[in-house]
Parts: sequence; C-alpha cells; structure tokens
Amino acid sequence: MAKARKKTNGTKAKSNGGQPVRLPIHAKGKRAGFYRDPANDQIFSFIIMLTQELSVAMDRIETIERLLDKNGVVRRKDIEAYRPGDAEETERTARRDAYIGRVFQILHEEAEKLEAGH
Amino acid sequence: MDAHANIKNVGRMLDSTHDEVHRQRFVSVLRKKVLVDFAKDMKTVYEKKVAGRHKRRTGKAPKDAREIRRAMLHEPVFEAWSSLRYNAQYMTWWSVQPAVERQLPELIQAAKDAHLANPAGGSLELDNKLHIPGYVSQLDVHQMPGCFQTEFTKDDVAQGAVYFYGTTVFSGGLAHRRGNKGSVGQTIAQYLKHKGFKPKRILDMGCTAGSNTMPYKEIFPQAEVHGIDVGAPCLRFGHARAEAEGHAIHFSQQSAEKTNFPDNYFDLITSSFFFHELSVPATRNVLKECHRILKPGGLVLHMELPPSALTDAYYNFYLDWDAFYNNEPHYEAFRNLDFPKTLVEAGFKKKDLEMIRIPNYATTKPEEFKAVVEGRGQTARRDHGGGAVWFTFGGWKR
Ligand SMILES: C[S@@+](CC[C@H](N)C(=O)[O-])C[C@H]1O[C@@H](n2cnc3c(N)ncnc32)[C@H](O)[C@@H]1O
Repeated sequence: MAKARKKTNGTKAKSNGGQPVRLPIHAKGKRAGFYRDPANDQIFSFIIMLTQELSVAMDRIETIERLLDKNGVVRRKDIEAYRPGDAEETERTARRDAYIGRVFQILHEEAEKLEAGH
Repeated sequence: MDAHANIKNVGRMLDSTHDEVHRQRFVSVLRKKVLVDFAKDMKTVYEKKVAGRHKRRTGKAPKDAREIRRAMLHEPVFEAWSSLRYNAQYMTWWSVQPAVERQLPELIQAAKDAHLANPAGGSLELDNKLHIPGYVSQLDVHQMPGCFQTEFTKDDVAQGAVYFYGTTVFSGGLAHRRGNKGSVGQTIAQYLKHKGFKPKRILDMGCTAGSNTMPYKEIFPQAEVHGIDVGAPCLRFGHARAEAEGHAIHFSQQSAEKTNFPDNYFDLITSSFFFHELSVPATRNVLKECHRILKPGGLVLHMELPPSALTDAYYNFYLDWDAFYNNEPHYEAFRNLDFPKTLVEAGFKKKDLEMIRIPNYATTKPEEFKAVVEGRGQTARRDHGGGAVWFTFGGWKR
C-alpha cells in the first residue's frame, strides 16, 4: 500500500445540525434547448413528466387490481408494500414500452413512411 | 453474502416507495425506447431523407459528425429525440433523489459503521484539501445535480448513492446491462485472466462508487486493488459497499493527474467511462501518470468510447450528442484525439500499444469471448453505447 491506512473520514461539509438534506434539482451548467422557441422545450418537459406520472398511476391501479383479485380487499399499506415479481415486471415493462410508443407515435411515423418509400 | 452481519450494505438499502419504484421503472423503459427504438427512427430519417437532401444541395454527403449535426439540428425527429433523451437524463437522477434524501442519515451511518468495522480489510483515505479540477467542479457532469464531489452534510454519501442507484435506473432497460453492475470491470478482468495475465497490484482511476472496481478483486482475489477518485461522497459509498460485500479494496481521494503512488507500482491500471470527462490537457497528464506508476511489464487498459477515427460519421454524430447536451464538453475533443499518438507522447512505445474491442463478458457466448481473447478475429459487435462491446485502449510498459 502506498500509505498506511488512516481512520479518517475527512469531510468538507459541516454537519447541518440534523436538518434533512435537500438535494439540488437542477444541474450546474446551461440548460439545453432543442427548439427555436425555448417555450417548446419547456412544454416538452411538462409532457414527458406527465407521461411518467400517468405511467406511475397505471402501475398503482394495476397493483390495486392485483391485490383485489388476490384478497378481495385493498389496504393502503399493502399497496405501499407491493413489489412485482419478475414475471409480472416483464408484463408491466411491456405495457410501459407500448404506452411510450403510443404517446410518441409521431416520432416513429416519419421513419415508417420513409421506410415504406413514401 | 454480506461479509459482516452487523453492517448494512449501502448498495442494498434504497427503500423507495411504491410510486418511486414505478417512476424509476418508467425511466428505464423510456431510456431503452430512446436509445434503441427512437434512435433507429432518427437514423432512418437521416439516411432516407436528410443525407440525400444535403447531397442534392452541396453535391456531397455530409462528411463528418459536425456536418451531420448541422443538417439534423432542426429536423423534428432530432428535436424530439433530443428532448426525450435530455429529459430522461434528468429524470434518472430525480427518480432516486427523494429516497436518498429520506434515507441519508441511515446511509451515512451504514457507511461509518462499515468504515469502523472494516470487515474485509480495505481502506478509505480522504483528503479534504484536494483541489477539485475545474472540469469536475464547474459543471454537473451527466446533468447529475451536485456532481460527484459535492457534500451536503458531514460524512456525506449522498452523491455516491445518487450515482450508484441512478445508474441502475439508467441502464435498467438495456438487455446487456440489466442487473449487472460492474460489467466493464468484469469484462476486462475476464479478458486478462483468459490471457493468463495475473496482475498483483491493480488501480482503477475515476472509480466513482467502485462498481467497476469490485470485479477486479472478485476475479483476482490475491491482488491488491486500489480505486481513486476526486469525489469523497462516492468513495465513502464505494468503500462501504465493498466492505459489506467482503472485498478488500483501497479507496483514496486523489487526482489521477498526480497521484501519491510511487514509480513502477502497478501491474494493471484501468478505468471506465473516465477519460471523456477530462479536459484534453488533463488526459495527457493522466496518461503520463499511468506510465510513471506502471511497473515494467505492466499493462494500462482503459475502457472508453472509441475514437472517432474508428467509427463512422453517423455514429460519431450520435455519440457526440453528449458533448453538446449532457454537460460533457470534452467528449468530442477526446474522441477526436489521435489515440496512438497521444499514448506515445505519454511514454508508451508504438509497438506496445493496445486497442481492443472486448465483447461484454456476461452476455457473450464463451466461444465468442475466447475467440476474441485468442485474437482469432475481432468481434463483429459495434454497439459501444449499449454495452454489447467495450472499446479499450492503452499499452504495455517495457
Ligand atoms: C463517469 S465517472 C466514472 C464511472 C466509474 N468508473 C464507473 O464505472 O462506475 C467519472 C469519475 O471520474 C472522476 N474524476 C474526474 N476527474 C478525475 C481526476 N482527475 N482524478 C480522479 N478522478 C477523477 C469523477 O469524480 C467521476 O467519479
């Protein structure tokens, strides 16, 4: 070893007095834009975030349905604790895949037409 | 499994809520759609429309990545694809941050416990005076808010945790990478083992949370394995995880441009996804430092994306996207370097250089892997981004 092992945990930051840490949401550096009008970039972000939230809601509904099928009742804590097994995860992933494909169908459309020789 | 029953493994602690789990899964699938399905659509539009238009206008097909970029910049497919990819990047980190925030005190405690008990016998050496190079401190690389080095509280591991769990989400939808942390380290170590090379002392540069460092200790258990990085929260996390999993690895906070290791020290020096984040002068410094601390007879073998000289113009355009939009401004300049020349300038001899494409070990049939090792033909795989094959470069010191 290059140096003897030191039992230090050297740290730059001070303790924040037990306050919960809030991690930053935005990265340092310029926010990228792809559209001529930056408002479109914002709208795109809104849409993709909403797409995600709907997917999460569908997963929650699916959890509830599965719990109902199995137990006939649902309790909040069972929903919270529910984690899909591998086979179910594969099904859910296929559903998410198709769902994203539908939401962003237009992205695929141009390529499809070009492939078909239009 | 865990070497020490009393310490919790920081790598298996993230306790996301039901909805957080499904937010993470969505991002994994979204990334796969973007990188596989929609990327194919974008390429089709380029080949069947944009390239031809450019040729009609200028008489020639676009000659390089920059020209393709200019021709694509305001194509709706590029705008939308880029928007998806860019947002998916942010969403990756956002999908794990709330759970990391909630659990931070526990994660820090687990890391401290691991450090005190140190059951596997590795080490952690931090240097809070270390100067963080500008290419790390000025931008949040990969759009990860807080980057690798920011500490939000005492003994912080947050950024290590965000990186570790975030990268699981990041590649969770890609078949080659799923559930397989450390696939680059595993692939290079297996390659060298198949070759009969048995390094006794190994260094992984820019090891972050040590995911690609651990396989070296697993595959060469007798070796002394070191990992260096400039980011303390990542090193604490990596050390704690390695200890919990029973791997004695020596982590230290230092810059790869100038380490405290003696001359002629290592048999193997490696890295993964590291160089493209350095400025070009730093790349040169690091390669020189590699040559200095490498033993005669030793090997340097770094994994990176291939230089642009070895890939076609469209692929270069596709890979260089990160340089423009992923806070990795040096990526393009790095890939445009003359790799052999740069290595020779760092002290390696031309005849001792290595540039090897190694198929990902865990997802490659043993015969194919062996064929590559034995030099019976190169692998036909070309998907570097998705991890079907890893490009490596370096050389021997004689
Ligand atoms: C993308 S990450 C590498 C990922 C890691 N090898 C893995 O496979 O998980 C790049 C890392 O390099 C580190 N780094 C950047 N400049 C460095 C330097 N000069 N010396 C050491 N580490 C550095 C960063 O802190 C970051 O953790």
